[in-house]
Amino acid sequence: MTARLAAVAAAHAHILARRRTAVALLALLPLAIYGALYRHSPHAVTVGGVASAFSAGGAAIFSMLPARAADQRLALAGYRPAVLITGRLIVLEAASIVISLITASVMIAGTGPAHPADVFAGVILTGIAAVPLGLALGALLPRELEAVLVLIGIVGIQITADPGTVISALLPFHAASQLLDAADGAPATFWPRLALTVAYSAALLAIAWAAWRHRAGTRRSPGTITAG
Amino acid sequence: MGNQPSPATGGQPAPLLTVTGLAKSYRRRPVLRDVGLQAHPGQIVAVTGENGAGKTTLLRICAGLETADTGTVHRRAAAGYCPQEPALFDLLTPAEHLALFAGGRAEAATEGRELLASLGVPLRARTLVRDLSGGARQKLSLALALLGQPGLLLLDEPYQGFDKGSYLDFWHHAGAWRRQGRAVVVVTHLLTELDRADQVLELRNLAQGGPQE
Repeated sequence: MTARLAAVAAAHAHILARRRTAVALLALLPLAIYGALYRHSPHAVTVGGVASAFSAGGAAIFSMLPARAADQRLALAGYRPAVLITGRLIVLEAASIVISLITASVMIAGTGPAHPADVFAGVILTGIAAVPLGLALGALLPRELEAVLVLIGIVGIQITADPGTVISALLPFHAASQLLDAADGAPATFWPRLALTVAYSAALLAIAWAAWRHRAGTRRSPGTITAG
Repeated sequence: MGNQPSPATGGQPAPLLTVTGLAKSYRRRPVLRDVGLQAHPGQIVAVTGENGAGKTTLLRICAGLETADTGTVHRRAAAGYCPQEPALFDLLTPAEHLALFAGGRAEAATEGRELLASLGVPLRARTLVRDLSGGARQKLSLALALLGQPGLLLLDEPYQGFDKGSYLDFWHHAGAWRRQGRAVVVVTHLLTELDRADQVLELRNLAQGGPQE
């Protein structure tokens, strides 16, 4: 189990490292959005921070969808869907934390918020939730186009919705956006928001696992007997 | 034929794969109907038929990638499956594929390197799968199916993109697998290959009516 998990993580680390241009573009996207707003909008940090979900979520989608057929072969070779998902999760969360630290550092340098720790916390929580969201979309939807459109929709609604509305509270980056909003306002408590984000992420991972089990796992006909 | 695989009879060993009464439909369109198949150790079974006859579906069900609507599949050996399309990771090298499919087991990765060498796949450290020729990808795909020395090989047109030499090499290897006592089920369109098989299963396209086998 551990050797297989390490093998999946190593493979996806290689793949991610070889997608340098795509990773760089994904990392620059939230900074570009922040850069377009930081002189004009008091919400530049919140928008830029939540937009970092495009980076982590996009990378997760592109690690899942093109690999469906190859993952089926890995399932035949004895890999469980949970291992295939967890191996990706480890690599993508690690990459997401690096991107989050860069994004948060640039925004803190640009805006100089009263509570810079909340910016770090908010962007990291965004990445923590965005990876399972991307994995779930990649497992549920048939093609990259549909998955990316849904990701754009979810992040877009989270950015534009008033934080006090029900729709905002139902979306996965609500706790992160509250922390980002608090960077220049009244302090927000971190632990309940971390717990909410982890719970949301766990639910998204369960969806990704169930969908990938259906799409990429092995299946037995009712009368199948194997003894080999 | 009943639902249980035939036991060993006389001098013939029990089949490694027994398929009985298999049926499969996609959205009410029947693809397979009452298909039966046995593959014994040391046998090559050719599955042939026109486009849409269900050859790939039959192999995917035997491999465990799809479910049948009715019927039974009994496998008595580990199966290695080589799909029609290679289904590889474009941004990994052949050696990284071996490490991944070997699941971290060093001896399996060594076996894989020997397989690749025997099939003539270049093992240059930095060559990614996306930069390999179609034939080399297919050979890598075949090598991954052979990893772990499965007793039953399910090969769906495994020589697509092979040049003539590689194609002849494939049948040389198939002969060796037969001598090793493996059962080989190979999907093919080429009538010239049918002479090389011990058994031929011809499927007909059900959309055109008539019996399937």
